[in-house]
Amino acid sequence: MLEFGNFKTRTCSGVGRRGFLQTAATVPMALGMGLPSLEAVETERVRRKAKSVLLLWLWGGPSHIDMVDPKPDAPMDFRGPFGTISTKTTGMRFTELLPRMAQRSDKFSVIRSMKTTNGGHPGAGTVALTGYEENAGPIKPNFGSIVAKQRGATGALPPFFYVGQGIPRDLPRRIEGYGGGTLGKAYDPFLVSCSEKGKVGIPTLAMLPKMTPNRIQNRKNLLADIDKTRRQLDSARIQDWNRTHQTAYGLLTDEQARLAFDLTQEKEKTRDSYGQTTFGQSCLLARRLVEAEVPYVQVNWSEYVETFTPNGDFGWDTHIYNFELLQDRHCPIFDRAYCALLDDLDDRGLLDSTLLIAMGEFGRTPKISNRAAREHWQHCYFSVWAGGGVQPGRCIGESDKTAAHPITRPITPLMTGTTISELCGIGARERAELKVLDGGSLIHELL
Amino acid sequence: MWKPVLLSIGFSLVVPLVGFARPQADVPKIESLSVHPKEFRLSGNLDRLQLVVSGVTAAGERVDLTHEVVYRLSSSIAKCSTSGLLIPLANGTLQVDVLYQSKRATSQLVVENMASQQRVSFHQHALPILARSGCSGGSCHGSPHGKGGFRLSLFASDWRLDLHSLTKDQFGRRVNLIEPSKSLILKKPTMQVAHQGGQRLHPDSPQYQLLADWIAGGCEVNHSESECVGIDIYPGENHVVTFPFNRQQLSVLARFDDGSVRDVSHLAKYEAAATSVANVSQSGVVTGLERGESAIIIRYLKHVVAPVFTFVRPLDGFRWNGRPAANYIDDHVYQKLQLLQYSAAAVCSDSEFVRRVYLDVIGVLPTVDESMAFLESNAPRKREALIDALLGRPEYAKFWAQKWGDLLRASRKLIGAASVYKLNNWLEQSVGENQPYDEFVADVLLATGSTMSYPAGNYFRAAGDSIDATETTAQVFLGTRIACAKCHNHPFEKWTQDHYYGLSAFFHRIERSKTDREEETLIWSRDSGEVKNPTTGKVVSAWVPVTGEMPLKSGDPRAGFVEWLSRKDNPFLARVEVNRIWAQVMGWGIVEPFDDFRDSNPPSNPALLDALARDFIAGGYDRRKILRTILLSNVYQASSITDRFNRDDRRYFSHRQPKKLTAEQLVDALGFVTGKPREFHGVPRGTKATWLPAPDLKPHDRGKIGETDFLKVFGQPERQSVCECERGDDASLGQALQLLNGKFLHEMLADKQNHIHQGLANGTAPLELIKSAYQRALCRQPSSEEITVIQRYLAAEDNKSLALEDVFWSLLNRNEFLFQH
Repeated sequence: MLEFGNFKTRTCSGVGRRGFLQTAATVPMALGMGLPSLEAVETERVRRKAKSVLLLWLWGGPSHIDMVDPKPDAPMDFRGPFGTISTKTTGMRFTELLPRMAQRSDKFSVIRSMKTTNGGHPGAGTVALTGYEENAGPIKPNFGSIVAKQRGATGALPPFFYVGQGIPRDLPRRIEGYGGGTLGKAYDPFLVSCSEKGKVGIPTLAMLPKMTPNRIQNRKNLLADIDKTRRQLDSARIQDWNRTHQTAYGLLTDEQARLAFDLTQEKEKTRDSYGQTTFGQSCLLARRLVEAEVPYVQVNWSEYVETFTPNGDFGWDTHIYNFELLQDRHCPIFDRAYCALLDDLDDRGLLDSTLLIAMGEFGRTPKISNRAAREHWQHCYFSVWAGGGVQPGRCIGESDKTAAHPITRPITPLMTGTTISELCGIGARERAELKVLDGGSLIHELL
Repeated sequence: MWKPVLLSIGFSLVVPLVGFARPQADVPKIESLSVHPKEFRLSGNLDRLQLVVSGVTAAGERVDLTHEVVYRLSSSIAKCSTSGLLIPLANGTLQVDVLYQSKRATSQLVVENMASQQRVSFHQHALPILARSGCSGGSCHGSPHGKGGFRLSLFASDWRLDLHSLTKDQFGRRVNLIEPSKSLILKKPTMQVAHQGGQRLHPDSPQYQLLADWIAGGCEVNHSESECVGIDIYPGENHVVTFPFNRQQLSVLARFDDGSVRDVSHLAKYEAAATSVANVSQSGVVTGLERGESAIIIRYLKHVVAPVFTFVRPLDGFRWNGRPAANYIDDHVYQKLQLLQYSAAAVCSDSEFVRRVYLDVIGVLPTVDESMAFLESNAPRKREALIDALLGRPEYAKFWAQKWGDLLRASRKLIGAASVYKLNNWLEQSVGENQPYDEFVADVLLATGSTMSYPAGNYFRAAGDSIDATETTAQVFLGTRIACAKCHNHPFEKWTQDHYYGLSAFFHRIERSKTDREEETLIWSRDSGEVKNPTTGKVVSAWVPVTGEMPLKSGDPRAGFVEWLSRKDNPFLARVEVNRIWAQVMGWGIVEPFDDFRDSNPPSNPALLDALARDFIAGGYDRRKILRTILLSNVYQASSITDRFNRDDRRYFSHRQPKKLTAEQLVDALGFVTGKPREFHGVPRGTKATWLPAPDLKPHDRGKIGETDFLKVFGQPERQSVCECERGDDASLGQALQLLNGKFLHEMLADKQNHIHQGLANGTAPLELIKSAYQRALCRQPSSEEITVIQRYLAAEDNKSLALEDVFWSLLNRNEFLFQH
């Protein structure tokens, strides 16, 4: 390991670019190279190719130590009961709960040195999805809103989707950073839900009692006829509103637009491969939306953060039954859906142009609690990146011997957002023009 | 060292005479000619002088001729480019004759200190160039963590850091003293090496050469150099540029503490605040793009000035159509409109007026009786009478108390339900009794004691620490967003980190002690306590904008702040409040966004803002009076109908801009038109949405969340931040879907107790129901064409009651209903 300044730099598979630079700069003679060759390294350019972003939002705080950052050598009250397995990435081991992902680790990269600033769900959720704390107000835009603003809608579909509503259902308030923030409500996500049977729910599009598409059409015609009788108001705001109105009509009545939501168009085998679970089918719906060229889709793991809550749907907030749930429910569902999605995108040639990210808002306490589970832990957690110009097969960053703190450069949510936007072609200049992600830097290790 | 670059700027080799003829058609005919500066002293071979030449036409318009005139030099001790840039060559004196048409102007110059080569200065050249090129900007290497591992201080505010970053950091790999052109700080911005920030410097530019020479000279820093104390821009504030001569060369002269003045036009950074109106090149040439106004922001080191330029485009067929002013508001607005050639819209109709003024003053639509009585009245000053009547109604206090609730963040979550009611009652009382605004502000900012007895103290519960109290106070009462300055100097403005903490010193000693009573908090002030700047670790002295440092007196420091704030000459208190009142009824602030006062966001009509503020202060900070004055103006009563001369105006109040009803107004209006008002949790029956004391009175119900709340979808703020942006009026898809196919409106229309179904059950004719609905929704009767369309629709449908629901639906989905116009 190399030590430089106040942090250490290493990737599992060897020396990272920065570390390499620093080593080279420290001992140029030993390596027999001077400044010129450094420039060659600097010319390496970021590839900007992500047409769509697909974020699997593992809301509640998935346990990093029990999933992708196991510490088998840590004391008993840290390491937990799970064994570890090797992956296709040299030097990187997962717990036994993610066997399919371990088999495909050459297709994605894992960051083990994530760190955030907030230890509560709504607050950390805002940080994770916008890059900034919410109390400095005004609330900054969600990463998806930034992409939506820059790209705009394609066809009748809105540019930013939440699959799986509730953000979240069981907290006193929603995550402030769920939507457009300073960019405006126009860039809020469009909410749809998806059941384990693959039935897509779009509450605002569902027909109410005594309403039929025909009656909507009649009303629309009546409104148009009656508007024709009088001079119409005109201003930029009115034009905005008229456009929005048209889009809404489109969604309500356009069959083609609605086809993207119809999972019965998929082969039974495909639907099966994702798992007949809410999350699995949501991932499949997300893939269909990506195919329909929606720029940003966020799949919410659950509507409820807590694992156990009346009528809940088992979030990742495993204050109790952490080990039982991860083993019997969460990890099998996630492992299966993630790998099906990865394979499916790859088979369809979409992986290169789709940035696929899985992450939560923080991790869980390395030390096992007196309820035999784990609590919130914002000081160290993980994210998984694939496609869209990301270099696969890397294990980035390292945590200490109990997975409590990164011992390499911490990767922050602001860096996550900056990297997402950069990969989508929203460079430093565009970000400055939109006044978003100020001060963010790239996760070079992914590029 | 520096030679070849000069050629690139296009110097004529025939030194004494420079210039070229332009086609006659483009040439303005002028009456007089002048050159700036009239005399100047150039010192050393690195000095430059940008001349600015102006002519005045017969019509009195000033025209920039810097790039058009002929420059004749009396000797060859300097040379001059066609764009009026002088470069010294030898010691001596020189007269520059500027010739245009038959006119002549002169400038007297002295050149000295040319005997030896002047060294490139780190402070006066290198740092300004890095700032000018954008390198040390807030979104680039000047951000708190730098970019790509390279960090500079924001606009060269900390030269030690910059020197370290440039020459020492990363083992000095950014400069190459032996081969300066191989330096990374030159190869990156010229894109010889990939650079995320793009090309920032041209290798042929004088700026590049200066940087290269500085490196070649060993990256020297001379600490005994004189320091810049200020910059002067020519032409300055209120300059008018008239098309087609839409170009203006700027000159930037820097004053130094040794009394010297140097031209820094080629080292300053230029930006236009309104990029649709004007742009400005890095050689200081402003080009107007369309009529309007823009601040031109000019920065040299830490000095920033932002003069506002006006761009006028004479329009074919434009004739000023303004009517006699109703009061001083019209005078100021009409003057601006006339200058920019925007026509003034006619005064709106009575039915538009009655709907507009009800919504603005009391938040709801007039009843059928109320609107009919007004429309049928023949009283000569019936609009004035209506305004006075509305300002005296209790709903006025309720509606405007809600606006203050937004700003003071009255929410159950932040201060608790009981406190929400108490605070709301206090606000309603303050507005209802028309408490002078300065007293109101003092009540809030000096609140002391139990929040149960003095509900204004809840301000310091919602703003729960000194940081929050500082930022909230700055935003609400100073109209200034200073949060940026918490971590670093403000990227665009004059705010520094010391200012931020200096301001927070006034709120630092506030203590919030809980008592045994639920929600009750005692607000009090400690006797001592100082604030440190977390970056420097030094104690900061209390500071207020404009006045500067203000030593804390013993006792509660808030007293000093409020005393300063309520001085008659305070530039914030009155201006921020009158602008807010204006924006609330006009839909657009004189400063917009209305809580974002800063040099680079100037008022669209400073004279109007000042006049309103003066009137407000002279009237004893009377909020109701200033609102009344606004409502009485022709400007407020203008129609929303535009013509080709004012269609594209958004900023100057030439016509009424339709604004969408707020979430609360819309909910009330829908309930009023359908006859099925919505009931709310936690308030007496009959409480309107526009009176709700807080958005979150209803306790959280786990089972029910996920249901979309109509109010939230339409932008009811959560009151989590004081930013006005929380209540956005932008259109969202969710809103359109709610109106087209949402449960809320659907149930209102289908309700058996509403006007439609009750009316039909009572045997009222559908047409009568429609007529009264139109009167309620739009304050007018349906036209005969509208009635024809409606009757055709009713006739074609079998189910009459459903068809009537459809007709109501179409009424409620019309822009004429959804917007206030």
